[in-house]
Amino acid sequence: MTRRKAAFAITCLLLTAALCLLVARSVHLPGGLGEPEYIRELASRTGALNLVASIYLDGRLYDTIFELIVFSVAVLGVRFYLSERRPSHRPAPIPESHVVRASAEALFPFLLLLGIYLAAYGHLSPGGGFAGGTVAASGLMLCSIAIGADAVARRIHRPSLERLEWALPLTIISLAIVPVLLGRPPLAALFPPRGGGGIFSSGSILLYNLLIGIKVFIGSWVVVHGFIEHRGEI
Amino acid sequence: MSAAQSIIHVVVLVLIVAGGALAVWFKDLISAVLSLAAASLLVSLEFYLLQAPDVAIAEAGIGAALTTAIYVIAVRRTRRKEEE
Repeated sequence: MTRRKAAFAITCLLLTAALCLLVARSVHLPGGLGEPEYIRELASRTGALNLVASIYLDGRLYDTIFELIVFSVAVLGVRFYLSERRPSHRPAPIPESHVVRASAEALFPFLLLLGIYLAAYGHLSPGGGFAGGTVAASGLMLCSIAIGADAVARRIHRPSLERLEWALPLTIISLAIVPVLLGRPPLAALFPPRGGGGIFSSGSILLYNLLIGIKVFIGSWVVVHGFIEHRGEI
Repeated sequence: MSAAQSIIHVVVLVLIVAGGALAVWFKDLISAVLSLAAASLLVSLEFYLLQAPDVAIAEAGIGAALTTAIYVIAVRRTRRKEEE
């Protein structure tokens, strides 16, 4: 029986390989198309070297704001529906592995640093607030695996975390409205871009990336910790 | 696309499918989660090869790291072996 399954799997893989080969031979990636005019204009206006960041945090900032609202509503939904249920009876603690614990202790600061770097340099290199936030949150998940989610949660002040979680999207929306009060078009660059490729080169994109990074970091932790705490009731 | 590039693409794509198939195949759920993480990491590599480093970082951060951690926590708090 197992041999028949293995033969089936190998046949599937070979068919996939053949299909991939056919597709890969027919696809031609656009290599030398050049940049459209509006992208060059946007890059020079924002001063961001990463064109993707200059699009989703300047030209299409309202898209990003709504994306952030979707994320906030998801976190709110998880918290709302889980708050009606009691925290479940916890199973006996699993014996910890020294290797996992030691590697989590060693890796956590670096993952946090990598998350901050990705968020802070999102306008210069690939990355950005969403990626940086999830990388930092995955460091926290690693610690949850190593020493247990309850031990991690005890070190975090939960009420201030929840307040911060809602203050951040409000701050981002308010920041997007500020240019209107100054008589400029809404959602435009808050600070004038300085250019030159430094960390402060692209005006408000750095600020938005950092705020989004913190928001995603906190939101991911709140959702995962909520699920862990109410395990068995979901 | 040159021949070498095509070969790399095909190898990565086949490995992605193999990782997904192994995730279904394994009875040990931790192994299944890890093969899913490997598939996700290879998807991230494919994004990078297709010149989308932003998407690659997001995929590696969410698909390979965060999701795997959540699955590992979930598996550790339930049963490790799949029922026959």
